[in-house]
Amino acid sequence: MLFELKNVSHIYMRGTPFATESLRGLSLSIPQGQTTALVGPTKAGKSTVVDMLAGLIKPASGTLLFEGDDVFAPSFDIERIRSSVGVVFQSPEAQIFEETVGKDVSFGPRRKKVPLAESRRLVKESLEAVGLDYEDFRSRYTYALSGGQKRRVAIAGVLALQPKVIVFDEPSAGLDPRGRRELLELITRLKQQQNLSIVYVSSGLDDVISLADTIYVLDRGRLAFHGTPREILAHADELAALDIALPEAAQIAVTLRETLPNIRTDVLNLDELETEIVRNVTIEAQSTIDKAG
Amino acid sequence: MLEVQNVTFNYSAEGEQDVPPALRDITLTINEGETIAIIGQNGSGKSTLAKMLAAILKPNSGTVHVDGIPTTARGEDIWTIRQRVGIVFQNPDDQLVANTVIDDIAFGPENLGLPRHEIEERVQEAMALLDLEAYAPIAINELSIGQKQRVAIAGVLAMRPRYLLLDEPTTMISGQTARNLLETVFRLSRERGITVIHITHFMHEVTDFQRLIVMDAGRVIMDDTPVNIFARVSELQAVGLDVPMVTHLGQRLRARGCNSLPEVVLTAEQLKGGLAHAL
Repeated sequence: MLFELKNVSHIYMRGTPFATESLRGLSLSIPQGQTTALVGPTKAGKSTVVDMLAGLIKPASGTLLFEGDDVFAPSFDIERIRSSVGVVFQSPEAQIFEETVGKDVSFGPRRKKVPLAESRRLVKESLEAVGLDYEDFRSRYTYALSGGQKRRVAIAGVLALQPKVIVFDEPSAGLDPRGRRELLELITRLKQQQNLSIVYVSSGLDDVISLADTIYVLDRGRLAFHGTPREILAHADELAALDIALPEAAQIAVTLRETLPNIRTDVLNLDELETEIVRNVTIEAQSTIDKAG
Repeated sequence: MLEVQNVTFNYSAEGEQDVPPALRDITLTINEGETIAIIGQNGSGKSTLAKMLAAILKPNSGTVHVDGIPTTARGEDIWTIRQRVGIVFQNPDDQLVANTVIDDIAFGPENLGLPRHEIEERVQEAMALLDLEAYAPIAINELSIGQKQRVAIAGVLAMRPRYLLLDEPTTMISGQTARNLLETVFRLSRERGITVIHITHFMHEVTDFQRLIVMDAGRVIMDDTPVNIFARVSELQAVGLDVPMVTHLGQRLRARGCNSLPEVVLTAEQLKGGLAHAL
């Protein structure tokens, strides 16, 4: 297990009038080589978990294990987490600060004092992993990139640090349909080709339903429920109560329930929805004929 | 009326060649009372057009008129434009300025130099429209993003604009919060006759608008009703966009012989109606 949170609580600005409890006894585990999604409305505690996984904060109480080792043990070096976990923050374009693409992506390796030749190789591989041609992009100015390209460059900068896990914090916010589809394909490809573990943080289910192995739904610092994408869709009423929109296919199925009372609403995508409608229309039509007969 | 005549705009300074123009020779007219949605991929010029209409940016060539006043006007006229055209940005944190909800909503009218009772009346009205009365004394930083977005809209409404521009207001909010926001906007259009221009990346959000504008590479490439535009699936996909999932589904079911469905299905409700008819 990469990370294990056991009964973790956290309070920001503890001891001040602004103290806010962001996590209240949260337990969850993040396995190696999988895509784990954290979903929840604002103030569910998602960002606090991200900060913990990035090694930026330690829990106020509870246990946090990294690769089985307690991060509170005196012998534990927090650098182990920091060098294993890459974070792509919300609006990843905000984490680009160098003048050119090459400089920006090589910032991490240079800081780690990686030899020049090795650093060049890392930059090249990282850019190519995100679908940007090295020769074409390395000397381009970062300010002149499109939004989608900036996101790719930010991800390449994280890849160049050779992390074991990448945490994506709402990475698709503000992307157009194609940009979003390409980003999700990229994340799937990275996981397979680079043998990465992925943590995907999102306020909605649309992205993670096709991407995640396990989805954790958080509510006000606690775990509401968790499971596979299909298991999560079975909680339609609880999701609505948390103001988490169902993915489009499941939402359409819910609307159709009035006409097709037996339709399954835990459909993951358009293909499943279509099959389910056709099946139900056939059954309903048959029963109408039977009644008439 | 908002009139855009042959507008071209480039963010880079003259002589710099590496940035293509954000707007290329755009001409369009927006009538009072219309509800319009604008879609287009990242970098297609949607936000630049919105900033043009709000007189935040001025064209390099061509003209923009708000109720007959050019956005290049100075003095009193530019204040008239700023009052008539309200803009709500993607991230409410970019436009909230005061500490509490009531102070933020009052900020605009206070700067118009209105008498105290008039400010109070407008603030109360804007808070009522957005269901914010209970939040009046609350600190902005205590609010969720969805609540902040409502405060931002209330602040704009307190200026009593004729035109409301929403630049991807639902990017950072989800679910029912986003649906409520759009319902509020349609209510403002119905009850107040406010012209609404909504920029979005979510195709399912635009189906209820009277008019849909599609932008690509700084140009308006389609300007029609949603139903007519969503019939052009492959053209939309070619410019990085798509049709709502329910529209795809409608096409597939029609291909399977479900002819009771309309040619272009825009909402799940329409699909439901069509299927009920088929049974």
